[in-house]
Amino acid sequence: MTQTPAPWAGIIDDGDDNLDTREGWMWGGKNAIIFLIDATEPMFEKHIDDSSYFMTCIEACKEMMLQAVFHQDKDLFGIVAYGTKHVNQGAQANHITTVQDLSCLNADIIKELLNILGDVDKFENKHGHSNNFSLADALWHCSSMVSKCTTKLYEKKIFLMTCNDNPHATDPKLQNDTRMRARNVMEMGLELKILPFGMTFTFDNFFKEVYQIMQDENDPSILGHNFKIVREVKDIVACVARAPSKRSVSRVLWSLGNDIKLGVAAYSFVRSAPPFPKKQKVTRLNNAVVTSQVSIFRTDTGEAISAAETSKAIKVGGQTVTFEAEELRRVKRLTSSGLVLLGFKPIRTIQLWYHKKKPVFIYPEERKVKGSRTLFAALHERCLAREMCAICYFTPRTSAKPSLVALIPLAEKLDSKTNTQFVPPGFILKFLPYVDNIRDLKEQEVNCSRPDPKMVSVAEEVIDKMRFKFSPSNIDNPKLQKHWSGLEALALGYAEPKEFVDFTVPEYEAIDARINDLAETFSSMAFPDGYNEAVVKKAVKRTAPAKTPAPKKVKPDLNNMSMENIANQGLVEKLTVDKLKSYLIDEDVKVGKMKKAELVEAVYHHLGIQQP
Amino acid sequence: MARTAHEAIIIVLDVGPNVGQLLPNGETFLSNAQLCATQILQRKILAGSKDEIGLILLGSEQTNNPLADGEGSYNNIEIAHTLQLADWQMVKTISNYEKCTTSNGDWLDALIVAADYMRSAIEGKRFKEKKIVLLSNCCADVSDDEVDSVIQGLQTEEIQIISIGPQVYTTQSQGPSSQDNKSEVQAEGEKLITRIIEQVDNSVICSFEDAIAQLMYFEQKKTRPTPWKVVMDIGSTIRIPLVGYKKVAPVKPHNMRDIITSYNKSARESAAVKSKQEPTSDGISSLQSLDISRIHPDQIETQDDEFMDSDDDEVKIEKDRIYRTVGDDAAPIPDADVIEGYMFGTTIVPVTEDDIPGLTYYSGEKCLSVLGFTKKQNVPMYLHTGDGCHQFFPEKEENCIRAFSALVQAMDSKDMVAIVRKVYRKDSTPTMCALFPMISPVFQCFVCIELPFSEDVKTLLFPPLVGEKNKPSKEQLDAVDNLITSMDLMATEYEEDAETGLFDPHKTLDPYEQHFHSIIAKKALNKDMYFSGVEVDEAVRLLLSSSEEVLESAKPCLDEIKKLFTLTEIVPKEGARKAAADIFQQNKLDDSTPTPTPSSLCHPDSSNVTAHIGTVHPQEDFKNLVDAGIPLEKACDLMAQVIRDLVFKAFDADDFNKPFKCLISLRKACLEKSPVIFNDWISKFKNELPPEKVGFWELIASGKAGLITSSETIISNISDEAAKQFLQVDDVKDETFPNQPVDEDLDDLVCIWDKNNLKCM
Repeated sequence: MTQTPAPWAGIIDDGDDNLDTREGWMWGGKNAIIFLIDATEPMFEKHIDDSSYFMTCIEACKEMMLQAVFHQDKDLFGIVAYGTKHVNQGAQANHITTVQDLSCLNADIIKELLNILGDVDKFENKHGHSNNFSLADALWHCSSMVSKCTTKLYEKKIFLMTCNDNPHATDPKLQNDTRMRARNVMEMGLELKILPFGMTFTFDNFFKEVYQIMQDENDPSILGHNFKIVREVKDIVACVARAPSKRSVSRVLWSLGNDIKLGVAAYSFVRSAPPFPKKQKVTRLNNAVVTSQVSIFRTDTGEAISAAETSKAIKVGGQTVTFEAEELRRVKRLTSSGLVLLGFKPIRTIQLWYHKKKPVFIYPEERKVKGSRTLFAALHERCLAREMCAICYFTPRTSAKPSLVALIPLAEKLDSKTNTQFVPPGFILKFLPYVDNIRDLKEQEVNCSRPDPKMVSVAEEVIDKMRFKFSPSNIDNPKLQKHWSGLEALALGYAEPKEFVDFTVPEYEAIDARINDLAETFSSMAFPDGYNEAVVKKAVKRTAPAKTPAPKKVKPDLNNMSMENIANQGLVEKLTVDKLKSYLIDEDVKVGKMKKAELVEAVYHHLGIQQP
Repeated sequence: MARTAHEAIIIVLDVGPNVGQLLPNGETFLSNAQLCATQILQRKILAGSKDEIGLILLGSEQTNNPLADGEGSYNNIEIAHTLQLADWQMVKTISNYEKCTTSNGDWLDALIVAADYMRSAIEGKRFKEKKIVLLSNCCADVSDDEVDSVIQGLQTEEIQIISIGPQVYTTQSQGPSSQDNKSEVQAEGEKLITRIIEQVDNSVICSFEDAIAQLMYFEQKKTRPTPWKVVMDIGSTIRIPLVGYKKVAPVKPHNMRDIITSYNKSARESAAVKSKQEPTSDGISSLQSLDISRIHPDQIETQDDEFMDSDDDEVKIEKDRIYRTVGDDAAPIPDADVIEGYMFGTTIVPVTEDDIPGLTYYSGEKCLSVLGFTKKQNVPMYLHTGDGCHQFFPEKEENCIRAFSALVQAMDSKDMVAIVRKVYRKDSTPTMCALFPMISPVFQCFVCIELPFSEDVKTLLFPPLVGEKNKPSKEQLDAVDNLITSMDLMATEYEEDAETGLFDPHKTLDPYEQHFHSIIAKKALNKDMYFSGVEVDEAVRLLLSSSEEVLESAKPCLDEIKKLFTLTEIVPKEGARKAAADIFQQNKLDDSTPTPTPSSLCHPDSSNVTAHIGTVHPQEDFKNLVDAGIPLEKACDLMAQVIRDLVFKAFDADDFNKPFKCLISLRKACLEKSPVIFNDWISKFKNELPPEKVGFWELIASGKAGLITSSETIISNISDEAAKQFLQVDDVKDETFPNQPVDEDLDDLVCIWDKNNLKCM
């Protein structure tokens, strides 16, 4: 498997006839990441800020592990140190120490790193240093860790962290071994990346050759790409960051009519749910995992029944309509999966507020229909030029409802500074509401068409003072942050959870300082008598049209009526839940966790009186 | 105000001899009228409408109205249903009249009865409108001397008349009407009704075609907008009280609950099984079964009593959650001893009540706080998230309106949107939203759309669409251009659509909701109907395709595109992925029909009616049958059928326990007497088992309940080795088998299941 550095690796295809219709994640497994850390003396040298390269490495490992835990990636991590004093370790080569074998993350692994960070000297004393290591052996050790792993692996990466730009400088044989081993490792499907430390680190001394020897002939772009010296933890994290996953949410055929179909895939711009940690119920006593099972039983006899014996029921117009599970499944299969073209419309007819749910991104899928790309590109180009969008019905998969959608062309946009893409080219699939989804607000609308020009200009100034460049990546979900920081503290035994900044709360002081006078002016223009919530409320009440008094009803005295009487008059609903329950319990009817409606029904049922 | 939003409607349906005449479309007036009345009622029922409806039959064999004096006046007019919420019984009453009666009734009398009844029935209630829907061809001989007082009465009572059906022509086209095979009486009657319609306010007359077109589709339940009042703040000084309403919202899920499948439904089951077999050679039986599902409604309709009592045999069920530890010593744990834990990598971190505050974000009071303003282009459409959107208006108070209008105007003219933190109620999850100014000639508002957080945004990077190899040629681009022009939805003949074009969200019905409602209506009228997936209403199909004109005009352009572009559909490679799906799907069944063809074992023998195994106590039933000396083969057949039923209808793997127990007892019985029966059956069963039921096979495998081996009984010739082999499903445990991309689920659809679907927690 060759690794292409292009961010759209795997999507591009060059007319290869041997296209696999599956996507990587379907057959791939987990990712394995090994940090291969130089543990020779220079790495432990203390700098002015009392940190060492080695500490930065461990800190970065910890940080990346925490991120993986946070993203709930199932990746396997391993840490290997080379240049330690250990010899005679059996099968393991000399001067190589496995700090952490390749395994899924858990709290203990991260705690171990925290221990190392807490007392680096202890680590240094325990493992010592030696310059008699062989980098080739270290690489071989990493690759054997991967091959010994029983879990199915998809991507395998080794990150070599060192400040030595010319290892084995005096031993050409060892240097040659290293280069050969690097080539081997690459051929085994592992990716090797070097994270260099120290301002004087020179690639040309040795590692350039290593990269060259690993390089794929078909892909010349790798050189000069990652030769950036790392200084801080965040540099390392940025280097290691994974390419965004390219999992499509739906891959369907787009039929234009007359049997013309092209393959398209839908991708979501926004995750469907924030990454909250997975829940697992445990016992209070010894934290043992518990599973839960739902049992269903008859309310009348208490007899357990299987879900296969149940149907779904819906009450309509006084009659119960039942559906078996299989029937419901069939009802849902109204349309087969796909995108069906209905016609084209100018984009301006698609109102901003036609927003039913988050849109998805549509891109051609050659792996479904070969030649899709060209037709897609033509449609994209013409729609973009004419400011038209395609109106379609979209059924993301079998047994999904058909949605009315607009495919709005999206032009590729590149960042002017870095020349990197930030808007991909394709169509936005916007879910349009049906008439069933649109609420009529005619009675609620407020006409306030003639604003005071003076106030408008004050408001404009306020807006100017408060303008910023919005980007969702700058605002974290405070609920999620709080949850994770609390959980991290519990898992790793911190005394206090890490602090986090709640970016969703306006910085009132800063805002007030900026718009101080303007705000006063605006407020006093709007509310000449001063703003006061009570006054507003009162005024709203006053201006509301006086309600005509409803015809008087004689309120029946439910307390002194027998249940039968109440039921006969259809007034059971008027009783409180407590009253209903106590009545039913007195009558030996099982109430369980019934809701009010069910209780009411039970009363009527019990008395044999038809419910109104 | 809301209280008076309902209508009182009295439907006057003519079932007398005159409506039996054939209309130009070859149907009787009566059948058209029935269709109209039925649609009116069904729409009301399914929309959960609070409108009250009464039904008066004209030309009925019964006379039942307060005005009848027993001496001939107001005869043959029956108040069949009093004014009440619409129900299925009314629909049934209407459909009872397959043929018209022989009793003549006076339609004008019926109108008087209806008006009189309306007056008395609505006493003490308030309605927005009062309507009489007259479904009669006004043919019967009437005495017109009363017409003026009738009109007078209707006027004072403010009752509108809606007359559907009469073929009335305006004066200039009087000609053709006399050419029609209309009797003079009818022409006279039509003239009379026209006069009434003209003189009673808000009354209309319309043809069947128009009426049916309007009534064909179901209405959505009306939802009253619920205000959300909040004070918007900008810094700590500027405060503007606003009221927000949902503008676009998902359709409320249908509230369904669980009940026990009633077991007097063998007919339905057999119909279901047969219709599933459709593609098999047994074409005749499948035809018959289809007939059953179609004809049945009419046949049962006459058995009125059975129809409405249906609710009583419904048994309520309840769900209970039981916690258990896992492992060999699995034991139930009381709810109080179960605490929440969270996964931190593979470590479970238990969280006690004391820890919870440390994990909980308290968002404080409800708010709509402005963080700042940003250019509209910084909030592109692909960042819009959340379900639906809100609109915010100012409180109806002059100061608020003044402040609001200035702000909206300022934002609009600067092309800016406000980024706000929104907390719906105290300590509920905070969301980030964008407020877009919206200015229309009649109102101003903020459109409020939710935005993602940093953790939610995904980076999508894709190569440019046009590369060297796939650059569309000039010809190709022109062909696509022509297609766009030919399928322009704005080029419509209808003036009303000119602004928004066809498929305007304001006018487009949700096809799924229509489909679902039509099935509910069918099922309500025919309890035994089993929906096999084929009967989709024509009305629903119509919704799903573009207009004929558009399709027609696109044809030549599509032909051109077909010529210019090469498209080759790629068929997934055989054996590309060997997973449970492939292993179990040996006989390539259509995925819509997971039920396999019945094997010989599963053939209930009709000769023995008493032998029956229910799904409630199958093991007992089975034992009883065997004890009673029923041939083992027959008992096994029945038991096998029950196992199959239970497995195939199981909602999820939790339900496999019962059929597994059955399988064990079946196996035990066979072990002693005839292992061949069991071994034959289980081999077939394995092949029939659809992939989604693989869990059941795992259960069999773990319970070693596969083939009966020679080491268990000497009568078997199966070796242990073969049995072991048999239990294995090669490498079913393929971790990467793509169930569903779970976190990516686009599907919001089936909230039909009750919300607290306890199982998946």
